[in-house]
Amino acid sequence: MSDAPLLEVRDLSIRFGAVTAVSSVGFSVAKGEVFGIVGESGAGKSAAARGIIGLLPPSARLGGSVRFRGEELVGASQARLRSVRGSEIGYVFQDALTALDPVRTIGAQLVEVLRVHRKVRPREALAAAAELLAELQIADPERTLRSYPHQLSGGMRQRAVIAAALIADPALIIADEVTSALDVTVQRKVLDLLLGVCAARGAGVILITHDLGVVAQTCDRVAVLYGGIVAEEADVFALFDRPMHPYTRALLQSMPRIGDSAPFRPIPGSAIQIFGELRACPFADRCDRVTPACRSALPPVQRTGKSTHRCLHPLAVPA
Amino acid sequence: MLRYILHRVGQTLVVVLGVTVIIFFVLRVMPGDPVQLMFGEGDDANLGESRLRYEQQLGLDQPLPVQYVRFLGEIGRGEFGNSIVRGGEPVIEMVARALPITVELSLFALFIALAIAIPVAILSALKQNTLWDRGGTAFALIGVSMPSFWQGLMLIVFLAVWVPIFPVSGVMDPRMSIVRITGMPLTDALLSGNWEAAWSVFRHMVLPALTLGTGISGQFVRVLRSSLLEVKHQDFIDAFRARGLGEPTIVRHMLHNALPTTAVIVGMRVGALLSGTIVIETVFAYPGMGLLLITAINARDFPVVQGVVVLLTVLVILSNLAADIIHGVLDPRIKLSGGRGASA
Repeated sequence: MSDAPLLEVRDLSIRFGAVTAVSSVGFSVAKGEVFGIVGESGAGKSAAARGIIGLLPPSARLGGSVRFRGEELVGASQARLRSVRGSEIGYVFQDALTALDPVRTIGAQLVEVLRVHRKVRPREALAAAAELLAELQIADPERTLRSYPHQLSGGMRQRAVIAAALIADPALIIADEVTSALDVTVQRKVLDLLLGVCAARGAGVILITHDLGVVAQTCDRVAVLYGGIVAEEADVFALFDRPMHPYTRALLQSMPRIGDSAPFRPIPGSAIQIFGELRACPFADRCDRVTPACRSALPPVQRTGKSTHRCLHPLAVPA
Repeated sequence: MLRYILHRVGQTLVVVLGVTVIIFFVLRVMPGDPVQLMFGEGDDANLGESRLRYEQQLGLDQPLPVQYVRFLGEIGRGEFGNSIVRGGEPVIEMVARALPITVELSLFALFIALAIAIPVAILSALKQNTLWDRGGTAFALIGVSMPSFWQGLMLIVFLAVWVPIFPVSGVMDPRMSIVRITGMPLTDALLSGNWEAAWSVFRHMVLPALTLGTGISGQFVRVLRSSLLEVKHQDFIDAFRARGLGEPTIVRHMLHNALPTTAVIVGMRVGALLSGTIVIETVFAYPGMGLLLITAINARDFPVVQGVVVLLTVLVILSNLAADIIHGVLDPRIKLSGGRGASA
């Protein structure tokens, strides 16, 4: 039982009209694991994350399978999805400035989430909210609960957003670029708080980011998304030490490091938007190892040990 | 808050002063004068002297600036004078009789307007660009553009003459009487437990209130719909969904976010509502401020017109103030404060 993943995504595809945001994405997240999803803007990170909880605009077409604790969520009823959201899968929004209702107090919003999912009295809910805020190192939880979002600083607001996602004690947290909107100085602190609380509760985390540095320091496993596919999924150490996919390597090389004297190497070209069915490797146009075979079909998923990659010409030959 | 209200009251005084200037001089520039209307045409030669005496008695023989200053002084003391025409009845008494009737009618109309506008706007906004939305827009356009006197007459034709559900005119069945408590007929009837009279008053109020209400609800629909649409695409609405809230709750929160702007518009429309009563009360022979004003204007009954207009002005300004206060209560980001540049 301990081997059964908390979340298993298989062959997930999301299309908005003619645009394919995500095609046949698969990964799994174990209980208590911190799973990173990295990729450029438009790689399909957020779409995939929202697809997991069924929170896509009505125009989106969702296919494939998302199993949470063995239960299929794709095609589940709205009522079931509503009860999963918040209470079993928490979603932390990217922009704390806009993810809180401006006309109600933080306390009202936190209590509301708890009371939707659990039968608790308002007083108990408020106490639970205060406790969670204290756990997130907010100095004066009572006052924060009485505050309106515009009265708080960015970091405080982001912690309130995190609290709203955590208060009903979900087993999985999806954190979508949680720190992008914050000052660099508080980014790290907020992220550590989030991961700390999740670890204390044994919850799994999907950390969506474009910052490889964050991934290296916090994640257990990583999936690299490009053009709506998982280019590579691996253990964080394996990924950084021996990237298999040329895109992963390019991404690692484009990351500036302190002490580097070699010229900075950006990835040539820019990210692509996929229309219709994906029939070639999406990275083919920017790849230095490209062959005609790369353009004739989407490379299949290749599995080596616990890692997967989708490249016909992987960099390292698996041992 | 107190400073803010004091600040606004100060502004009100300036506005009222301006209104008195306009109403006073416009009335006197208008062709036709009250004494002549009273004495009738063609008798000038014979009644020259009694006319003159009457004018003296009313102070109408004085130069205009003197009359104006005297008028201001009276208003300052809270005196609005006596009617020239109606046997010298004090204006205050006439207004005290008419104002509660109009206030009750307007509140009822406002209630009808909101009762129509809120559901229509929600439906339009949630089902944007569908048939529902188009229907709501069409309704709003009809409501805004249909002349109210025509709408009132049509309602009378359809619902009072062809299908006599509602009475044609008046406040209530003339055979009934109500104990006067607040002066508002429906409220008084209910307070005194006179159910029969209350029902009669209610039936008399429906058509004029409906006419007034649909007229202003069109605008409410437009404003509320657009602010709901603005809120609908905000991140926090998605965040609510991600926290597992149900759609009815989300709509309630959307409304809470959209209402502050609408409250301001509602407050601003109270002026339109009151000017609407001038037409509607005439059509329905409803003895409120509107009818009082029209009769007074026709008779050139200067003191009554002046008194009514000044009071209506104060009423409009007060309702704007109320709307601003409600806005501040609904939206915590608004801070009501007096003086310059203090708004956040």
